[in-house]
Amino acid sequence: METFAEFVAARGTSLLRLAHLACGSPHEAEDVLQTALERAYRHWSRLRAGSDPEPYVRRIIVNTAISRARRRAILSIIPTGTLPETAARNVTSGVELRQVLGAGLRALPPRQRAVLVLRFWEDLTEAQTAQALGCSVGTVKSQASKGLARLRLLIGADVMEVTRDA
Amino acid sequence: MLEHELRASMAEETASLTAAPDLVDRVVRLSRRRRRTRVGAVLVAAAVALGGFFVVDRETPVAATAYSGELPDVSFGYLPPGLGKPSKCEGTCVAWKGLKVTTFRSGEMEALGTTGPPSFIRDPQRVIVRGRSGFLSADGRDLFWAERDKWAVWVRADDPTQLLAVARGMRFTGVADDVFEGLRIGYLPDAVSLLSPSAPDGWTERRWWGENGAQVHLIAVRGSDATTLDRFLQEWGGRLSGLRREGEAYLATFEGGRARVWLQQRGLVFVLSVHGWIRTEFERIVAGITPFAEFPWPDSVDGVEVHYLPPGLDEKHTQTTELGEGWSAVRQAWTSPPSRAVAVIAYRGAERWLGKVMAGGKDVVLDARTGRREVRRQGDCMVYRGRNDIALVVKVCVSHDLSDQLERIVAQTQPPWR
Repeated sequence: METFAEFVAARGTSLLRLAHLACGSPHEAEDVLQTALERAYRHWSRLRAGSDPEPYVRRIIVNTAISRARRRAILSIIPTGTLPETAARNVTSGVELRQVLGAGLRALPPRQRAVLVLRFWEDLTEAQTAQALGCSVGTVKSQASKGLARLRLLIGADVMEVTRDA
Repeated sequence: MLEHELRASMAEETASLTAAPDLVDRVVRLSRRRRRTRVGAVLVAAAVALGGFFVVDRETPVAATAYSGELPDVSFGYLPPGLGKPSKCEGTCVAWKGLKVTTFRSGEMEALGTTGPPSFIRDPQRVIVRGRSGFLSADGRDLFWAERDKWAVWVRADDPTQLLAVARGMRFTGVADDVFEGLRIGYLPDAVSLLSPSAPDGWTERRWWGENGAQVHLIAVRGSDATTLDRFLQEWGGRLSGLRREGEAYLATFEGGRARVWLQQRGLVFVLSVHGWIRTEFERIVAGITPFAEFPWPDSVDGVEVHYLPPGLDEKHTQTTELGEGWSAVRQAWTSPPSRAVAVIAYRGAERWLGKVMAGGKDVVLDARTGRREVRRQGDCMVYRGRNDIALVVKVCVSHDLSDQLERIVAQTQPPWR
């Protein structure tokens, strides 16, 4: 059976990347990953008795990231006060498009971001995503749909036509 | 495709990231440190053990009609369908077929008398309307309440099921008109109007927007993070700069606005921020915020009115408040020896906790005079969603010998309307 150290050595980088996408910040990602691994470490004997500990750790990562992002959101409300809507940008090049998408992903509400990361980065099914987030499949579908719609809005409908044609 | 580009974006963004070589050591050290200081997260389990949470949607009236016309300073967010055109009527009123709304201002109020129900409310029962004290006629067709000092409203509807919805959707212009999380917002500049209320997962909020960046934002945070102001700021406000303590609150002035953070009660912190050119109104807005008045009757459990209890439950037990991360629960019980008991619990806070309260049991639909109520039955308890915009779930439990009374009690509980 895999030891905790072996698990971290094998999956640490992958989990760090997940944490980074879920948090939107490299520094926060390290903190979230440590928190998640610490919790897994505490329960390692029980986890090992089951099968793969990764879904458990993944679940802690996304939920911790969501929780922290919500707290940050409150703080950001006070000093800014800017309107939530952002005008669509005219983005055409692939590199710039991906940069805009990255920024757009970070700007999404935490749960929407987590859904998109689990669905399109971790390639989880809707059911697996729902299980990781502790919500219904319907919520996953609607959050994914809203998240993608916001990204589309952000980069402009014209761009999507371009990328579809490409 | 967007999904493809999104994957590529994620891959680009994380390509250079690798886990630190000493990650395992750091985690082990962290675990040892935390083991020494860990106290509990136990409240969460206690909350779930409290019994049921459950969720029923009772939608607020939709602003489908937004009629404003002959009645000065009054508009309607909801009117029943098929009313036709309003007609004039005697006094300060507006009438449709089957619905009449009359307002009374200072002089007229004195004529009515302010100490008791007016004579046109037959067999009046005391009720809370829009957070105000009022009277409902026995046939459920007449409703009268004091909207504010020297300003009362009488709504008469042929269809009793529409009465509350009309009253609830009314808006009084020219003044603030909102009650939120136990606070009455007494003053807001005319330049802002309420956006759709929302309850993000973890706190609840009201936002009022106006032109040219005018904004008022009020946030309520519940739970163990909000037991003291210092704890709240430690957990939620670490990045807030420029906060200064002033009496029982913290104040902040930032570019483009001002903010106030205060502890309303143990487990409930409010954050008010005023942005843009209306920031000069900040102090007036703060002064206008007052705690929602407690009413002596009917019984109220954290704002949830209890209009019916089986006779003989004479012993009323002190409210208890449970606080967890992002949630709170207020419980009140009425008992009669040796075993008869009714308990009403109001759960407020983060959506995920309310979801846990609602989990389990069986869906039931109750018919109350105020309309249909969807509840979940969990043994000798019933739970329902009280309000979405302030994330409230109500649970009612009875001792087994009162289980035949449960539906009636639940049907006659009333979550805060505003």
